[in-house]
Formats: sequence, structure tokens, C-alpha cells
Amino acid sequence: MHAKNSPEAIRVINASLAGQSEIGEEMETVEHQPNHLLLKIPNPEALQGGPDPVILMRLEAAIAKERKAYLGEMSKDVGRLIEALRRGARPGELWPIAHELRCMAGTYAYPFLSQVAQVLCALIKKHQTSSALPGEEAEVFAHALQRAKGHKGPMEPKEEAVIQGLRKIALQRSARSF
Amino acid sequence: MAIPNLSALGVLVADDSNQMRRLLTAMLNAIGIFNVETAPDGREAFERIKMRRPDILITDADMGQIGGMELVRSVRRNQDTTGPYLPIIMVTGHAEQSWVEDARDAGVNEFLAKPISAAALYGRVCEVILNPRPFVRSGEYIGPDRRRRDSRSYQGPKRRRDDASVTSFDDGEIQIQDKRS
Repeated sequence: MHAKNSPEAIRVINASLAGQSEIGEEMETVEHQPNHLLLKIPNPEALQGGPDPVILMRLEAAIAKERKAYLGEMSKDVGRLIEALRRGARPGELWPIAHELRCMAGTYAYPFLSQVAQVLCALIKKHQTSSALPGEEAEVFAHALQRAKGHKGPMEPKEEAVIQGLRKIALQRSARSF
Repeated sequence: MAIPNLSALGVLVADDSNQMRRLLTAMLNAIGIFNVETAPDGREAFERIKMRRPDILITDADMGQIGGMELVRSVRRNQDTTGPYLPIIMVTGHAEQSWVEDARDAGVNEFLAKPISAAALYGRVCEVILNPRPFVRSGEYIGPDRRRRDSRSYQGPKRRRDDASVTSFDDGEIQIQDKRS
């Protein structure tokens, strides 16, 4: 707040009229647009209150169908990633495969595989250098990927322990750096 | 419960993963949106937006060439060619806070972390249809209002032209009043 008619008060008013905030930033203009999307839906009330069970069933069926089609691709991706890790491939080659596996395996109910890929992604991202992963660490991830490949559904304590182990390796690597 | 009729909507899906494009298309079909086009990168997506004017854009954040963030900024800033108000749902495997903030500041309406679930995708589509946020323009930002919460109790400096347009000189002090309070 500023005293009435003080130079500071006049500055604030002028700034306000010019579209500037009191702290010197340009002020925002707000536009309220008509909702064109809603006009395209003949029964918008059906969108309220969460998804209809029939819709959810259709969605789950669509995911299941795509999952079935993806399994072959997933197996190929895991094989490519293991081969790349063992060959000493650079992070730039590992990242896209690991990233895809992380997303797709999780979506298709392979959380163990998704989490192995997630830890690998985090490790690669932490060290955006051109260096390959050291051989023994690459082998640990390759082994974990092999093990996770066929594991569907919720993780058991054994799988949780593997993920914890991988995270430890990633943390140690972060501390040492490449 | 009734099933919403979303058949008049057109959606563009931009993702560099063929698998994800297929999955999102199948999921949109399942909720009754059959007019779905896809693009493998931001450049092609931008061209399609200009030509086809979809109702909703669903884009990955991290694509080759022009990525999702650049695509969103291009859409918001090219007002004559794309329609800056296009509702945008960003789907990404990067769920870190910094990515969420970057997406918000680029002008994304909704953020959806991979792996995506049926309910989450449906929820985001409903959200952009039912609760469109006001559109905000400032020097740095063009996009949906980033203030999701009711900020009527906010006491700090106002930064909006209409927030500060009512001024008075009560009790010897300038009062910059919030029109909403």
C-alpha cells in the first residue's frame, strides 16, 4: 500500500493502466471462451459423475487387445536392450528402448519390467554422458530385464527386492559418477 | 448411467511411439471418438492441426524433431493458423515435477503420466470438455489459466489487468481490489 498521491502511488496507477503489475511484471489478460466442445455433445450430462461401467469395460477390452498385439514387440525390445547393454552401447542407444519399455510395459500390466526399465532410465538420465555403463552394472540390468520379461501382474517381495537392489546400484553410481 | 455421445469430436494423437499411437487410438475409439488422426512428431502434428483443426490434441512430451513442449508453444502462439484455444492433454513417461511445471508453463490443459490407465484417460478427456479453464495471455504466457485453486483468499500482488482495474483511495491508501472478492 502507498500513501495517497505519493509518487509511488501515481507510479502504481500508471503501471496498472498500462497493464503492468505492482511489481513491474506485465499483467495477464483473461479470456472466457464459449465451450465449443460441450456444444458438440448431444448428452453432456452423461459425462458427469465418472465413467459408465460399459465405457470402462470397452476401454479395458481395447487395452487388452493392444496388449496382446504388443507382447511380441515387447519381447523383441527386451532382447534388443539386453544385447545393447552387453555390447556396451552408449546411453543414447539405450534410452529410447528403455523409455519405451518403461511406458508400454507398465500400461500393459508388466510392472516389474516397467520398473526395471524405469531404474535404468533414471540411471541413464542422471549421467547424460557418452560413456557406456560399466560391464558389471550393465550385466546386472541385463539379467534383471531377462527375469522381468515374462513377469505379469503385481510384484511380489522377491521382485520388489530386485528393484531395491537396482536402485541401490543406481544410487551408488550416482555418487561415483561415470 | 448413460453413455456420452462423443462421436462429433475429432482428436489428434502425436506420439513417436507407434505402440502408443495405436493404444491411444484404440482407447479413444472405445469411448466413442472415431475421428482420430495420428502424427509421429511435433512437426507433422502442427501441420495436421493447421489443416484439420482437431477438437483435442493428445501429445507426447518427448518426441524427436519438434517435441511436445515445442508443439504446445507453437499452437498457443500461432493464433491465426492453429487456434490457440485447442485443448491439449500431454501424455508422458516423465512424471517428475519439473516436467509437469514445464508442461503447465508451455500451455498444456491436462497432464497424464504414463503408464496410462483407462480411467485416467477418460477423466482427462471429460475434464477438458466439462471444465475448460479461462484463457490467459501475458507477455510470457499464453494458455489455460494455471490457477486451478480458488484464490480468493490470496493477499499478494495481483498480476491481472482485470484484477487491478478497480482502484480507490479509501482511508488515504490506494486499494487495488480483486474483482472476484
